[in-house]
Amino acid sequence: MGRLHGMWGLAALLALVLVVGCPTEEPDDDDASPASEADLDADTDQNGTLDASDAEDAAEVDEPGAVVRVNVDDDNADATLDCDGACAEENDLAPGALTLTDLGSGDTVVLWLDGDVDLVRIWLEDEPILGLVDGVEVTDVELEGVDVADLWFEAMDFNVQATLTLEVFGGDDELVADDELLLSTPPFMMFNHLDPARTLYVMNQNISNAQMRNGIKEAVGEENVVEFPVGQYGWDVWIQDELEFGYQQTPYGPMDLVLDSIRNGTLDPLPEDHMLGPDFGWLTRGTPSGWASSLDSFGNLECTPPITVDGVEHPFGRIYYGCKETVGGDCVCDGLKEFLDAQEVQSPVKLDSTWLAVGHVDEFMVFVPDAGSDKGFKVIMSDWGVTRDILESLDPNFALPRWEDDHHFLTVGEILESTVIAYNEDMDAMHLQPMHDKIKAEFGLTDDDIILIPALWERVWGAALALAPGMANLAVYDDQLLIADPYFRTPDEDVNGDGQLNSGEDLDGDGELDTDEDANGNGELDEGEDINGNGVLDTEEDLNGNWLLDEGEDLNGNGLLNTFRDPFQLAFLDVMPDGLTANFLDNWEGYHLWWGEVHCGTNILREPRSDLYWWELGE
Amino acid sequence: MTPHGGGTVRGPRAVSHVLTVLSLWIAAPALAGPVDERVAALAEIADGGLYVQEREPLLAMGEAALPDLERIAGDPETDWRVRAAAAAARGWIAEGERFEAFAAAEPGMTRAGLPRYAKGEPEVGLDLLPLLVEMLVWTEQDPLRKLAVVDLLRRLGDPSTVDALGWALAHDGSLAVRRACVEALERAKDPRATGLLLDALQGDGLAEIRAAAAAALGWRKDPAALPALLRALAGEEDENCRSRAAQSIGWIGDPAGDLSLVMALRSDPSPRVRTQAALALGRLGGERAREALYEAATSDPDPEVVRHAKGAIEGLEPPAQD
Repeated sequence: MGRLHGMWGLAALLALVLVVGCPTEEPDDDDASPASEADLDADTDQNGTLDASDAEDAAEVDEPGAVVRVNVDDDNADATLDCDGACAEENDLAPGALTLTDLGSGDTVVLWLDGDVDLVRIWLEDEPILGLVDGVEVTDVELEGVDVADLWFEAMDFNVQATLTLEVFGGDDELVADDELLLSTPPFMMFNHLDPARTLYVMNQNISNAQMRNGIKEAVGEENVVEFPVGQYGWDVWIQDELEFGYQQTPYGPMDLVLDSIRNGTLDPLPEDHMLGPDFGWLTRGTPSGWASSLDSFGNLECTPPITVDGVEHPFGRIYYGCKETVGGDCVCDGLKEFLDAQEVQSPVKLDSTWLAVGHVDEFMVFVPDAGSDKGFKVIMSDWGVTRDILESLDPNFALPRWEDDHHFLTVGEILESTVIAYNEDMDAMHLQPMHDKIKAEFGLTDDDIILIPALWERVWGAALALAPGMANLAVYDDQLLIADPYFRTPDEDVNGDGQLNSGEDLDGDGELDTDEDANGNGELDEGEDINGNGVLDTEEDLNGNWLLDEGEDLNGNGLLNTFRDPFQLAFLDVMPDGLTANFLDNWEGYHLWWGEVHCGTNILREPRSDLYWWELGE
Repeated sequence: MTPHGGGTVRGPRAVSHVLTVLSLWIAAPALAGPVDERVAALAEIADGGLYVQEREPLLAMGEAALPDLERIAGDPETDWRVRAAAAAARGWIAEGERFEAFAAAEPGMTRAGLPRYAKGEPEVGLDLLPLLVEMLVWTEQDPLRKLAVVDLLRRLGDPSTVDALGWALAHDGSLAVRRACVEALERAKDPRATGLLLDALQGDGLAEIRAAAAAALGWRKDPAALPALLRALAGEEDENCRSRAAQSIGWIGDPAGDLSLVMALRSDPSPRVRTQAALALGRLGGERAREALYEAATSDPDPEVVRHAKGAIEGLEPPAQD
């Protein structure tokens, strides 16, 4: 006794001795001696207290019964899940109690366990007695010399149920008293983008992603950002793909969880290294066989905010992931699919993401807060119609110097003349428009709930890949949107301050477009040049090297004046819900060229819901 | 700086290698001098380990060999393999440290798990092209590293590498590497890439390569590919290949493709092919396309084909008024 209980256990014990048990079967006995009574108690009314109340007694066998925490954290920081090893600092066991009164001298007392016996463990005081005990499944135990005792419950996995039965047999082996208790584990709950953010994680690639990391810190506060050195993890930057944060709700408080992907890149040890710990649990699902599918990365696993679909409320939202819905089509691994399907509370939806080279749902849509709307959110979705209108509105000479080296398009005109246009038309007809209809149906949305932003795809390895840095592939940190800068602009737009875009102009009359004066092809104006002849070196006009001239408007509120006109950014800002701040971040070198964007390269731990609990939901 | 050597070769394999080199040496055409002869022989070697071994004496000549190597590498009349071998040898002598650093560099991975070289550390530039070609054509490489090499060649987009990509498309032992070569040729600015892709479309034994070539030819929008694509649409056994051919005919946008597309929309057994034919006809337009699309929209048994036929009709120009 002692290590499990504390004051709470003591209070419960004191309360229990006052409790009259509830025999379920009256012994047919003319004997004047008092009848034996057997009582099992747990916090079955989920009020966080073991009080042996009528409410608890009334709910002992109704689902969920006693909510048993899945003990997959590491309270003693020994790098072993607590349910798999001894842990003196344990604080995650659900309390219960048994009370036996008026036992006859020849009575026999037995505790039985049915159901997922190998995935739960029942403690009597500080001894494990039922379930998985020292690696052996124990289904029953005879108790001797016990009348009042503390019980403790723990679980080793999610989606587990078991029934604990206490039985008293008289001297003639006749059942004289019994009681029953249902034990259930919570679901693994996923966060959605509207849940309050706590910490943003990103890999530190030194100079390769310095601008992005600095932009993130500026937007969300340096104290809220945790960086891990990418060199220690094999230069794997895809922290969104390696892990999915979640939580489990119990009456005794939530536990943070990290679901570890089977993609098993070189980031594989990170969740165990930095997340698993006291009150931070770890789990994985599925078995990698050879090379894990990209669909098993968690950029392909998202959750909506609370929604109502055809009158059915989903107050915790609905999980969605990319998958080919046809029989035998590519999908996430069976282990993960079965786990998510069994979760039920956030009943999953499959969306076809297999037309994408990477294949993740975060590439074309994202939920963002919209405090001004009835639903409280909007879906941002990539759209070809918006993109086409922008492209057709631009001067074909509109230069895209950042795109030249890596995408081989120097101007908008070159894009318009290429197969990119026909390909995007095909992707729109074959995938994005059906997706638009699908998410409206599955998530109970109307056209007003969906805001459309520009995006351009190219065909790589027979599938679609973001040609323009994907703005929908963004991260939401409360009211801050962290977005890939599309660099759909020239760095020296409107250099003469006349309010007109200058792409295609030859300001210094040397016969070359001014954007061609980047002689070393590094995407920056050459140091020392004075292209607009105003007596100021052009590199002094972009002091922070962010490709934005330092004079003019301060569109993103970062304290630096900008005169740039990036039509992709402007289209995004034009439809972005009020109350949000767009932070366009340079993720070109470190992420975009490696087939991912800001969301793929970040991960955000959020606050578990505390205004609603899964056990409060009806059938 | 001398270049790094390959693995040493001993035993019967070594004897065989010596004989191979000797025979190549004897068979080599009369050339201007020892550098020319060595390069010509080197270019014919198929074994990666032997190639590295036989490259050593050439590199040992050092800067004295540079003028000849530069002459051979720059001679448009010389076979591309000989030019490429000369360029690589020149690079190893003149840029040995840089070549060695890159050859030892480990590629990273894209988000989808495909290998890719970063642009920095060591910095990637056109000066590395001879090394990249050598890694693709001659030296022994892990297929993942080769994939990264081809990906880099695609991104650099230099016309001088088209021959090497075409050779690897036809001869490399890895399907993934061959597939990557199709991707690289698709984006190559050199018009010869169309011919290499046509060879693959019409002659490769693997349907996956033929289908990839069909799609690549459409992406290039080269009208010269139209006849072969029309033949593929009509006669290919592989459904994916016919589907890609239909798509590419639409991308090229030549109205001459409409009859074949109409026939595919009406009679191809594959809904995938009929869907692509509908999309392509919507792009080509014209009365024949309109009629076939109306027919498909009202009578095709597959709902996806019907949906795309209807969508294509919406995108057509209004019919001409009499």
